Amino acid sequence: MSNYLEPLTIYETKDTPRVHFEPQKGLFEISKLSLPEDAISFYRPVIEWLEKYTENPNPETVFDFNIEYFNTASSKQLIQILLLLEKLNKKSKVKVRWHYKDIDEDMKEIGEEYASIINVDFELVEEH
Amino acid sequence: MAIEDNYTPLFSEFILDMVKDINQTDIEYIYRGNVNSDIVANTLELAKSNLEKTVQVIPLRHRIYFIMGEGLQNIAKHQDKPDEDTLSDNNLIYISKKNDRYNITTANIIANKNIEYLRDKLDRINDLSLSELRSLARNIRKNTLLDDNSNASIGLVEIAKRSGNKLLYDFKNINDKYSFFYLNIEVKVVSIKNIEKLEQRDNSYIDFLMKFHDYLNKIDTKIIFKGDFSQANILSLLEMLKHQIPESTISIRINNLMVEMLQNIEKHGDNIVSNVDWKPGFFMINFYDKAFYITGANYIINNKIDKLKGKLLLLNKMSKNELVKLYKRRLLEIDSITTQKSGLGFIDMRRRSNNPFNFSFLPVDDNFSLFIFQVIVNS
Repeated sequence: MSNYLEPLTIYETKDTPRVHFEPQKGLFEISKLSLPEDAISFYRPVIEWLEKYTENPNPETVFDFNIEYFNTASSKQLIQILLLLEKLNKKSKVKVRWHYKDIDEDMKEIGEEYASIINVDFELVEEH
Repeated sequence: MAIEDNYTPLFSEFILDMVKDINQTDIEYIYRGNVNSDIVANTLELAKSNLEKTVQVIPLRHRIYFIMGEGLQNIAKHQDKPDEDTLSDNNLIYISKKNDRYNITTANIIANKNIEYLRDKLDRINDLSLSELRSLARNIRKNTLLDDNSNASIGLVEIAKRSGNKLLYDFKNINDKYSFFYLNIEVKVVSIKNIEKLEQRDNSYIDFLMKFHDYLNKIDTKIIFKGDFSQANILSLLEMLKHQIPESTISIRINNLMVEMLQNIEKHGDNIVSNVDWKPGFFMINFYDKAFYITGANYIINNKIDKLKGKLLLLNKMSKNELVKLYKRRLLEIDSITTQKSGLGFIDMRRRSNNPFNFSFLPVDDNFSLFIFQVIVNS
């Protein structure tokens, strides 16, 4: 009997990101675009899943943010996820990888700011 | 429409003129740039959603949609690819609805050697009566093999037949090889049954369109949109912008600013007409003297003005460091996490643009004003 949490997969749409959490494979990724008008509703199940995961996490959690761009409504929810990861860091060794396109200076800057707010291992990954 | 001799990018007369009649019955949409099938598809998406909002009778909606589709595809059929690629950047799609008329204008590059053939074809179509057009359309459909160009012909014949109007067109010489081909289709928002004969049209409108096009070229307009800022429309506009500005730090920045500005209009704009469920707004992006100007406008209830003005003036005074600090503080404020108002939109826009906002409130009546807002991005 495995005690892994059921994976969470939300497919991307034109304005919401792809979310794929699969603890068994050590995959935690949010990617593509995040521009929903109602970011709270979109991220609610994502945050709920992560809260459940925090109860019984893997020894290590590598979390990839690979978002092309997001609106300010989403940024408020992303910070909630990051704060949850900070909490998780007490039970599981957390590493955040913040991916940004080499030409996207703004996304890099936002990553640096998040890194300064959140107390976890935070890596900025430049993509070409 | 005000076409100034001396253009000033900060709230040009042109913009003030455009925003002053934002309403729920009229729309205006301008795309200037290279036209490909993606652009046509996105324009039609926008047109469809606007038709649903502004035309109640469904068969009429279909007829207008059909004419737009044919009209836009016509660009693809008749456009010639110039040696200098930048010439096609001035191609134009202009759709407007004023009162009970839809106007669809296209301007595209054509090789001078093809002008006579096209002129002849259009003149022949314009010489026909409505019943002659109907029988011609039937005949072409029956004998599609009649001539090689029948596909293009049927498009123009169908447009003329269904619009119930003569087609306006003209050519404007660019150089010894190429010209612009202007085509204007006007559709009255009435049932086809009520159209007995084709209307005669005033040719001077095409002269205005040419001047208007020159002006749009001069101020390097990319997109103008007046209508409903639904999420679907915002996404179509974003898609279209991708074709106009090559991907770079600046294009990504502009994309982000556009999303914030448009969602802001949708979220915080006020509705001046209470029995309509969408809020009209204005959006424009153009490039002038090494900077992109992104302009938006929406209605605002007068008693909200002071607070908004105070907020914007304060943001305008802040340094980059102060803005970053404020952004971080707002990001972590618990009370705004669960509400739709993140309070981050303007801070984010101010940070990204790295220039003070340009804004103004134009009084409309005792209850409402128009809030015009401009963000400048240096290239």
